[in-house]
Amino acid sequence: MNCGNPEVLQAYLDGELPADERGELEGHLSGCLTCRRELAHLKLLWLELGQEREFSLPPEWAYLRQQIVAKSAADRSAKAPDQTGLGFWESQRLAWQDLSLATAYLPGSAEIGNLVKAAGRRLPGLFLDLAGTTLRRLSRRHQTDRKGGPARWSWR
Amino acid sequence: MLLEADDHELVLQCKEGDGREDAFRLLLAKYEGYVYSLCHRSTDRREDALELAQDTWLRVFAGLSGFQVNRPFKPWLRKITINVCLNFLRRAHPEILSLENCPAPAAPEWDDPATLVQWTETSRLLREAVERLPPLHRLILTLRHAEEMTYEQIADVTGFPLSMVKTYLFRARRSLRRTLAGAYGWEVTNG
Repeated sequence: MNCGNPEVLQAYLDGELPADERGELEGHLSGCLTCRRELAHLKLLWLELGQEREFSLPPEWAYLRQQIVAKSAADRSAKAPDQTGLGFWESQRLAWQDLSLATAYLPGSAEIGNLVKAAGRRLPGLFLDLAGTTLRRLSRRHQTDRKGGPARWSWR
Repeated sequence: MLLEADDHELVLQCKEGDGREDAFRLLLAKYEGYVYSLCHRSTDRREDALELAQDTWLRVFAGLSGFQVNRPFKPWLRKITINVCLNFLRRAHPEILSLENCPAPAAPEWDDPATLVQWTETSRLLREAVERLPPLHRLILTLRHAEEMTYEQIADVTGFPLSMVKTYLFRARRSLRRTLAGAYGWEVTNG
């Protein structure tokens, strides 16, 4: 043990001394008044340094805070849309548009009674005709979109 | 309620919630004093501290999208603040990052007895001595004593070698110990 070594005493107070060196130092301290006195001085310094010290925010911080919030919010808004330039709900609306269009061609439950009266035994065939017409229309629409419009929804 | 929200909730609100400006303001209100204090301890001037605090917050909000919300917020905030301060110190005092060129802390002014009488309050005296320390010494001292970081944590967050951290800490505290020795009339040792 290097008597009075301030680096060792500092590391000891920091709790950074390895266990074997700590034991050695504590043994030394029990018999060395100079080191005990130095340790007491350093403890006082540690006590002073450990006191919380807050700097109060200057008045101009209010203006800077406003600038920070405004800039950060603007930056976030600019980054918000995805790479296609569409927001989440807009892209969902486009993705499901064709399916909602298909449902418009299907007869509602209120229409089924009239269809039965009008078509009689031909009803299953009528449904098949309706389904075929719907599929043909959707297929044409899909081909048009693929030629000119943005990619939205894959038919397959 | 958002006003009582913890860091996790506030960060989530900032990242993806509606009314983001409110969440930004609440996160700022919670930590702006902490960030400013850390910046002020690292610099000599209040104007620099303001600029550094502003720069820190802009980086924090810009980086929030990549921040994992399940991780603690304050250590991440502290790391950004320290990086901003270190970048500033590298620009303002490029010489201080070399141990060889590291200036010795300025000696306390004890020549005038009247000054000594005027500075009877030890805490205030010590604060003045801390402010006289080279900026990097002051920053590392702050990380050790105010932030209670270990040597390794300081080395990790600053990117300095462990030996450099220990040397800076030792030199800074040796200087402050001399200040206290002058104030209390202790025998001035080589430490």
